[in-house]
Amino acid sequence: MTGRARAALVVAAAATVAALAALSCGPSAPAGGTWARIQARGVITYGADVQGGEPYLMEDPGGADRVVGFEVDIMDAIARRLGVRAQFVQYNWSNLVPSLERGDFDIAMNGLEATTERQARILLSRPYYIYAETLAVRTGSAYRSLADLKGRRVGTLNQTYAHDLLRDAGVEVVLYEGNEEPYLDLVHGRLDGVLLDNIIADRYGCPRDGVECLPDDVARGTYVIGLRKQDPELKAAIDAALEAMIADGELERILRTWKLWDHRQGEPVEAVAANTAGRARSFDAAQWRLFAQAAVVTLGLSLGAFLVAVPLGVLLAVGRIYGGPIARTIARVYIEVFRGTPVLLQLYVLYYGLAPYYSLGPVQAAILGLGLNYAAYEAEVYRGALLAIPRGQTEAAKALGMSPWQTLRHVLFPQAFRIALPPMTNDFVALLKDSSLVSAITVIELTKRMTIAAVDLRGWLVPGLACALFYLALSFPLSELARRLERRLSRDQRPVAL
Amino acid sequence: MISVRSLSKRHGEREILRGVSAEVARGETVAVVGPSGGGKSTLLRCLNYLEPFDGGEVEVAGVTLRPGMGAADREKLRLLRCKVGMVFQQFNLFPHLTALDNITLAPRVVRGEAPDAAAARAGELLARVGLGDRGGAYPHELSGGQQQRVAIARALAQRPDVLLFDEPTSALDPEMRDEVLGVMKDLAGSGMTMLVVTHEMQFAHDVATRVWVIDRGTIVEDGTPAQVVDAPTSAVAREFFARVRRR
Repeated sequence: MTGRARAALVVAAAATVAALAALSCGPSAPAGGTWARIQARGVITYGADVQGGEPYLMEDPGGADRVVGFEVDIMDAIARRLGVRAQFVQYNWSNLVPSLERGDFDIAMNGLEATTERQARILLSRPYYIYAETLAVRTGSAYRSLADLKGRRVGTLNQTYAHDLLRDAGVEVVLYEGNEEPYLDLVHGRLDGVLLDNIIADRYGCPRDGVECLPDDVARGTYVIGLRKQDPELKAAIDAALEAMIADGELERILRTWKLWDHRQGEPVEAVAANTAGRARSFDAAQWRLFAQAAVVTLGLSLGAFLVAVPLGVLLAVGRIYGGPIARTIARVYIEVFRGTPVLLQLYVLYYGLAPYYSLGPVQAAILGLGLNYAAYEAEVYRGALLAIPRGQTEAAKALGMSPWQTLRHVLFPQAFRIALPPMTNDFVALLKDSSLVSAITVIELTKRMTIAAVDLRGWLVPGLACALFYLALSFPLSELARRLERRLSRDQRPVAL
Repeated sequence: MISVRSLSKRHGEREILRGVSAEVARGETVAVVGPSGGGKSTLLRCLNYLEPFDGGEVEVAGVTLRPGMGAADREKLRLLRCKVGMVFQQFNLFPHLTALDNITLAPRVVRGEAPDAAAARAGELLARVGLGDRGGAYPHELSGGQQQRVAIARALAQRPDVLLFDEPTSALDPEMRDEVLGVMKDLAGSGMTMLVVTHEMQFAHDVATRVWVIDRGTIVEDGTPAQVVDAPTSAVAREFFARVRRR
């Protein structure tokens, strides 16, 4: 590494630290008095995620610009009893607690399970629902308990209590953001089990063909409302409202309306479930190991995808320049479609859309999806490079009797390669980062690992820095390699000083 | 060696060659001269089918070319191009290959010569064009005149029966012109059949065995240098030579 390159790296690292530090400070939580402010405004804001879906909270299927769900009804009842109006705020579910702490909304209410870890972090209201963790397997499967699934792939939602249980159970945890997808993967054999709250399992899993929900509850727990540590007055007010709703039967009425009232609601339950050894508590050696593993996944995915993208890109570029009308049209349509639609959509189509016909594994789908997408970009890079070569080169090759393939292989490709090398390096570095999108199809790579660690450790700064370091450690040597290769290939093309 | 019969080519409305007919015997050196845009280069490029044409027939070194030849005639074209070498105004050396590799590439991949044999022959050809010691140099390390001499050696490596030169000295300084023209003169003396599109009247006069004057897609004069250069009969040729001499 040259001195200048090292200096550039130091500057880049410092800038990253500064940016992350600025982010982590964010808007600070309002000092006390949330309850007083709610009364003054006449509005209580609650954070939740519409992706939690039916029956918790969802966009009104009737089309009105509002949310509906049993939690919306409970929230409205609580607000009425507090003499204010409830207002929903959309947030990503797995970040509800950090967002609450930041002060983005007054309370968090969205199937938040009472756990010792959450209790240590925020205030929890009295429970408003007793749920069970339901284990689903494929119909006819030999697995009858969580213990049977040791070492197998089991799906759940990121940062749920079920996630904690699975981390302790010695299974391979596969994380999802939506309720449907884990059961789809179970049916298609990409998972051997799904552990989720009974409300989700009853609606999204158990009725599905090929899914069997095991009758015994793996665990029971309670849903509570999350509040900031400094808001005990607000907690007292909400607890009182909930007590009153239980006493006069309004809570039961709401739960019955949504067909959620079951035998469990009358039975005793441990109010706060004990966590969990699996959750990270500090950024220790185990975390570094997990990050390193994730970095290997990121690098492997990117290399694999590039190995798909480069040959396909060459084929498309050659087809588009030298092909007949049919080849040209196919190449153009391919490029426009793959370049003009989001990678994320393409990944979903490959992984979930294609599943009924051909079930790709998540890593296969990720490599293929990123590879097919980047092929479109590579094709245009190579087309530009091929067109930049003077016509005389092709004429000279033809005049020497070389066939089209020989001309491409010996004359055009070597010259195009050195023109294409800088943009290709660019694309590979972009691919390293775009590979983070594959967490949408359950692959845990560097960025996903960072978000998991950030929630576990209650902070983005250290995991974010570690993540940035790993990305730089992957991309910098590649850039350096490309720079040397470029220098060796372009002996005759030193730039003229301006 | 070369027989052109009623060759015609058009670019949309514009007729570039209008029924050109000519014969060239083995060992002849034909200088092709005439005003710019008259069709000299196009005629030359039709002879190795670098330009397709619309009418007529060309026979070169035993290979017959007709309009509309395509992928099905690939083998025929390969055979033709092995027998007909071409040297371009802009040299068109392959910049990513050394002088030696520029010369050995086609013999190796087109004719399947062994690398050692191809390299040995390339060395001889480089020596013949006066560059025996520059085989390892890349094109950008060579002067224009040296590059053009490598290009001539590259064309010769395919053991052609005919060499086509498309303004081989137009991109060169006078000094370098002489070294390239010297090589061409030696080649002509060795009995190679050559067609040379050129503005070098000295070469046309002293080296060529025949001179064609081409204007507006036809050969307007065809004869020995003494006939055509010293005593042109057509108005076009007279005017052309007068203009060239004034320069």
